[in-house]
Amino acid sequence: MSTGNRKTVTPPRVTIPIGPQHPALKEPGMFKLTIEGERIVDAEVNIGYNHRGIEKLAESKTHLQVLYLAERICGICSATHNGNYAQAVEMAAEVEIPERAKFIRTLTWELERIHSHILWLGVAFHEVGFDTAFMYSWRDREIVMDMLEDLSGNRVNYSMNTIGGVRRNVSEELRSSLLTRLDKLEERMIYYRDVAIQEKTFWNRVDGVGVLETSVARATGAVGPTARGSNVPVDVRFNDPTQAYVHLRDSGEFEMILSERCDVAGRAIVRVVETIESIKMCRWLLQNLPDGPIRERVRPRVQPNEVLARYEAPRGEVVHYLVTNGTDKPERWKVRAPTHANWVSMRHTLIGNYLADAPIILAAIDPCFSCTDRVTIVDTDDNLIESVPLDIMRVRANKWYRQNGGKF
Amino acid sequence: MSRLGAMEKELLKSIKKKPATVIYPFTKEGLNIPVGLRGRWTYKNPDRCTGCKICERVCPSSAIEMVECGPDDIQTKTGWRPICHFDRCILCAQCVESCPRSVLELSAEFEMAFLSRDDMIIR
Amino acid sequence: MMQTLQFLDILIWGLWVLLFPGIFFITFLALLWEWIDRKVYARLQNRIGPLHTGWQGILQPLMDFLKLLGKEDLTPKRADKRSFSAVPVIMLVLSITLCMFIPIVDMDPSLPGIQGILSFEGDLILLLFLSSMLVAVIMLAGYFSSNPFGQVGSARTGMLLISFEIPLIAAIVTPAILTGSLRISTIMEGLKTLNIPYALLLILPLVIFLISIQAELERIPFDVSHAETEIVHGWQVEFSGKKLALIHMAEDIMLVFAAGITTSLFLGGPYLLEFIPLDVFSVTFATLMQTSWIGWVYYTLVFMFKSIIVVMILSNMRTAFARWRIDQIVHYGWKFMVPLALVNLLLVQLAIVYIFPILGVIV
Ligand code: SF4
Ligand code: SF4
Repeated sequence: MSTGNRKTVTPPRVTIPIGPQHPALKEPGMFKLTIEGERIVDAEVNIGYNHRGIEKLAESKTHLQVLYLAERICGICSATHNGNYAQAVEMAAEVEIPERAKFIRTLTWELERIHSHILWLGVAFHEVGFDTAFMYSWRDREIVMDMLEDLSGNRVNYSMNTIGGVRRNVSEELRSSLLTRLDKLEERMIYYRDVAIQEKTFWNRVDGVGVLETSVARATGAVGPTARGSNVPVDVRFNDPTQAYVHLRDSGEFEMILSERCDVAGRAIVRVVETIESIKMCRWLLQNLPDGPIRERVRPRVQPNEVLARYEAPRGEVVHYLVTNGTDKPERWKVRAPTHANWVSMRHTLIGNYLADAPIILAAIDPCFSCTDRVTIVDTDDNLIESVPLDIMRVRANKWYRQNGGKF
Repeated sequence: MSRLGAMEKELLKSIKKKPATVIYPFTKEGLNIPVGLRGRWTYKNPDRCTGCKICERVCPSSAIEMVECGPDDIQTKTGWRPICHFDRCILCAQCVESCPRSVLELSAEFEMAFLSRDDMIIR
Repeated sequence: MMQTLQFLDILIWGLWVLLFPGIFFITFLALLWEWIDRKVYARLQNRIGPLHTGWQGILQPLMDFLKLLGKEDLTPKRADKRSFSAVPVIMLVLSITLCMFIPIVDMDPSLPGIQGILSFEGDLILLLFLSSMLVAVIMLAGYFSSNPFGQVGSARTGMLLISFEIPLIAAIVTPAILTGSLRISTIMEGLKTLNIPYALLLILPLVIFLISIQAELERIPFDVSHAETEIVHGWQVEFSGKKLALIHMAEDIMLVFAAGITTSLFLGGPYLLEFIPLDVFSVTFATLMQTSWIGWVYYTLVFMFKSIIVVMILSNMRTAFARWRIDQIVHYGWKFMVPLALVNLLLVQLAIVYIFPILGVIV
């Protein structure tokens, strides 16, 4: 037999779509997985089902109104975007907010991180079918949700921040009740760290799954717990602190949580331990809460300026780029949500794993689709989907305006 | 390190514990409604309203509309008063905060489902 | 005269099949077990579980069933229509047939002990055959629906089956060896008179059996074949309306079967007080129960009591674990369960043939 006729038999390659509607995904996103048998050999990430035009809308609103729009970018990191936008405007207006306001803002952020991480933990448990731990963790998340509600008056969209400070004060009795509830929460989180994630069936599902090596994590620019789970020390809270994080860092009691495991288990451990660290931070913030006013008056018109505000959201670094133009509205506002940075490494992480692990790997970066989706062009004639970065967009827009006689 | 049935003890313990479920629509027990809840929009002190339209201007979702005071209403200085299209309200409380004379309030009422849009116009 | 008698006999037998230990009773048990399962599952998770339909939500499974019956029934275009709609019916029939073998009350007074509605020498073999066939139907169900998720689910069911059928059979065979019979009712009678050392031999196969039956029932940690977050309920994905209702019912009935067969083969069947070694109980009480109608009530209650314990154990198992990946299941199945089952068989043989005679323990 000649070599030309010889065939190598491999399992047929099947492309399985995960999404846009899939029970493992809480938001629409589409992942085309090419599998051989049960192994993933190729993966393609298509996002952009959730584009809402928030950035454009913001240009027609005042800074104060954009705050409430910003917190609706994502339901889980609402304080993140809200606070970071406030911070950006304050930077642009070059005002310094009172110390107490900084502390309360940071406290909201940290409480939000706790709730977000517990939420992730529950989702991760659910993805691998461990519904009991899912129920338990979400039950315990209720503690921190109640704390946030007491603090801000709402469970989800806290609206705590305003330009120039925070909107609500922390009364003395609220402070002590928050402190006692933090103790309870810490006890529960230690339970999850020592017992729940050590359940063998769960551990088998995350151990060695979805490996993202340190070098790849660096090269693809992963952020947040995804990067820290791969032993990349990026954490804006320590690298470039703002607000009360400066004091937190200077106190020297807190450290960046890293894991050398590089797999999903590493990310899980980073998140759980980070939650405990966050609880400690909250306690420190409450105990050292300075007296004083909680807000500073800022003129509604912000002088022309260009700023970049960074903050470590629960999922990683969030960047708000803001251009102000002397009016009370932003000239341009750009949000780089952390999930966006983490998608890049997703293909690498998926390849070589089992199909059954795809949901937990996808969930392991704690994806937030609506934060991420910015601009996508769908050409209905030839089904071309194209994600367009800002600069190309600008070039095209200029071209269009030139051709159509508008001015830009 | 990891072991089978790690949570078993906790599971058995929770048989004796009170369930965490809140039987909400039937009883409001265990809901932990905080003091400063931002609930339903109310036009609380109409006699103090001046009709200055600040609330309309700051509202991020254009939920507040200024209408001319009707005959039964308390007349404001400018003859205008706010009403809230509650279907658009996002409960941010910016109007409450910006109102110079503390006329408005977000009350503690949190059951805010309505059958029609007309019911959602709060006067 | 002769003919009327025969007619009456057939009528009574029909009533048995339809009503009391038969279809109606089994369905009742299925719904009850599902309620208990859900309730225990919820309580262990610190939730309440079904609450509003009936006392403590006891009618919830029935309501779910009825509601599903009324839902729109869709058949995918690409599916093999006839086989597709046959699957739920076959599953239901098979599972009910399986339950007919479980001895609950005395169906044939001419024989000693308690028999199921169907009972003959070698019914254990048929039982195993039928339960494997049920899994085969499940596999076909996935393929008939011509949905990629369904097909993946089917393939996984197949893998699960290969790994856990062997330990299951090896475990079931142990009581048969101990009592020297392949008839369920005889095995049950034999278990009643076993010595304590012999009864101890049943503990290991009981554990193996409970784990394997959990796999057979496709419940956590072995629910890979209809893993919701991975393959959207696997082979069930295309079934809706009546068909899904029937499939759920069949699954519940399988739970009755699993609990029932564990009770009969390992826990001594519907006897409870008879095990107390006092003449009052082991002779007088037993005869009374065997001869009068109170026996029927007593046996049924004891059977239900023991089954509920098994159901609770199975529910607890469902609560305590995460879902394993299919390769891990196969791995653990072949690496631990199969050798364990074989070692168990070896142990039983050694014990019966060599160890117990030396120690002087006889059957
Ligand atoms: S409610 Fe307050 S802000 Fe609105 S018109 Fe009246 S006084 Fe002005
Ligand atoms: S609460 Fe916010 S959205 Fe609602 S009316 Fe007031 S300003 Fe508008």
